[in-house]
Amino acid sequence: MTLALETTGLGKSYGAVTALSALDLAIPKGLVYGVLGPNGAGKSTLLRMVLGLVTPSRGGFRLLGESNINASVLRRVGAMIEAPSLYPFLTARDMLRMAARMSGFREDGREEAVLARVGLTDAADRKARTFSMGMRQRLALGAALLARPELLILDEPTNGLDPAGIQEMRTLVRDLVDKDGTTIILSSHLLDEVEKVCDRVAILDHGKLIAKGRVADLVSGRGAIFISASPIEKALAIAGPRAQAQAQGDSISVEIAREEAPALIRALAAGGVDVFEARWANQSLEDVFLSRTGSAS
Amino acid sequence: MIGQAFGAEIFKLSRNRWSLFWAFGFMPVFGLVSGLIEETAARAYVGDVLPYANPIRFAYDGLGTMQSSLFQIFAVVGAAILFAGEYRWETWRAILPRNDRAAIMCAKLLAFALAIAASIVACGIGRWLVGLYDAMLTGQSDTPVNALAGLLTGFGAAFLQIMVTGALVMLVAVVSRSLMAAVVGPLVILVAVDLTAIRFRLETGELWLAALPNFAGRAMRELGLAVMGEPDAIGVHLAAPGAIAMALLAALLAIAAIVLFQRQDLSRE
Repeated sequence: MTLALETTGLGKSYGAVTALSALDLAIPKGLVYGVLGPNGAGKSTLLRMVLGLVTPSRGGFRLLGESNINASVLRRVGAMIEAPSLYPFLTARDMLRMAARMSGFREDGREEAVLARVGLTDAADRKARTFSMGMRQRLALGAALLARPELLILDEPTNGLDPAGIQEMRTLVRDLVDKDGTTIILSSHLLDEVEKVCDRVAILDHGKLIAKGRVADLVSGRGAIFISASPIEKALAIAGPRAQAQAQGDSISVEIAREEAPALIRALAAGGVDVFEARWANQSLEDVFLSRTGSAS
Repeated sequence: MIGQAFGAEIFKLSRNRWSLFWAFGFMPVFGLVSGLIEETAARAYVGDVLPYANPIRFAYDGLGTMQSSLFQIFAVVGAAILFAGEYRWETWRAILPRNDRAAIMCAKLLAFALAIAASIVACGIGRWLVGLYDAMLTGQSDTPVNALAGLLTGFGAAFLQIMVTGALVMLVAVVSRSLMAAVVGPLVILVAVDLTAIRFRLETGELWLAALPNFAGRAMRELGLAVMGEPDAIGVHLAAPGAIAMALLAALLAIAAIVLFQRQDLSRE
């Protein structure tokens, strides 16, 4: 399997503070890989190390198969890290021209194509300081896309975008991967978005990797069954400690594996409980995230 | 890599027109306008102090305009915009993945050198025009001997002295990561060097004076005057060691800034 990024014991400390402990991660090419974690989890530190902005304290990584990370390798990567990074005195078009010059990238008409792709054609000659947050985000994305990167690193790409913009961003991300063959590493707090757009995810917490895998695998087989039953006390007693009464008082939820559900329903029926309705709800990525990071209240 | 980074830096500078004017364009304009007003006023209220004007000598004086610590503030601002602007606008992360760190810093230094060279030449041209205006009113004296060599020496003096200041701004910008500190820090150092220099005189001809950029720059200017036939030039023997000292100092400051920047973590610009 060809890897876009492979880290081996990669870590970063600032004095006594460990921003990222030894991280072992392999991100294959050709998919959208989500990096999740609460604030301070080490996501931005990881992305900044990959882009050569921060020097690792330990371990190493291979980027697009190269272990010697220099400008030639990094030019194959497009990135948008944290808040959009723009020169206030440059217009959108000039920002792309400057980025092209700095990268040594030349392709006639590319700036116009990128401006059209991120929806900024009408604002091409406006200075970046007059842009809204959403427009800044689009321009930063355009600059990242400019040199047709093999790998695109997006840190919170939907910040400041309205619902339509978020939908467009989601479509763009999938198109880049599915049609252009770009690999995307995406960091976001919007777990619903991540679940919709990412193929695989890694969850970081306090600088450590606590879960990784396909989104479908992480959320499948986990969830809860919601049962409307009577008498409710008897149902709770049979279902055991994993059962919780629901607020409306006539149903319970039980966190079990999906394959345990038929046995539970049979046990309730055998115990004299009338079951009116049973509905399975998969665990969302947000549930996985909250349970793994211990952020659930 | 340096060529591409230099192209991008020049492009950015050319689009930042307001800063470009105040940093590198104001002094030539100021020198021209103030010179024309001064000559007109002198002619109207004082009369001819000197019977003949020499435009080449005016141009020579113009080349040295920015050597004064007071007027170097504009060069300091220009250097600070180039070297500390990326910290101010948090744009390092937008350009560093596109080019080599050392190449970008070298390109910034080259862009500053080009801009300051153009500014010095423009100051010279501005004062030359003032000299032509004066000559039109009073008549023109003979062109000095070796005028081109003298002007080149004068240009070199101003260029080297301001490049030391630019390299100092570069280092302070990297260490402080602040636009304000990159302006204020070097200005304080320039004033401190000026205050120190008050206690010494170029006329003593002591070799160590060549280590101070303001004395070294002045010695080179005196050499330029001597080349053009000025009989009363002083401290000329300090010009060569002064030029070497300024070039070395600028190189050392720039190398220190580049080495520090190579190792700098940009976890937050």
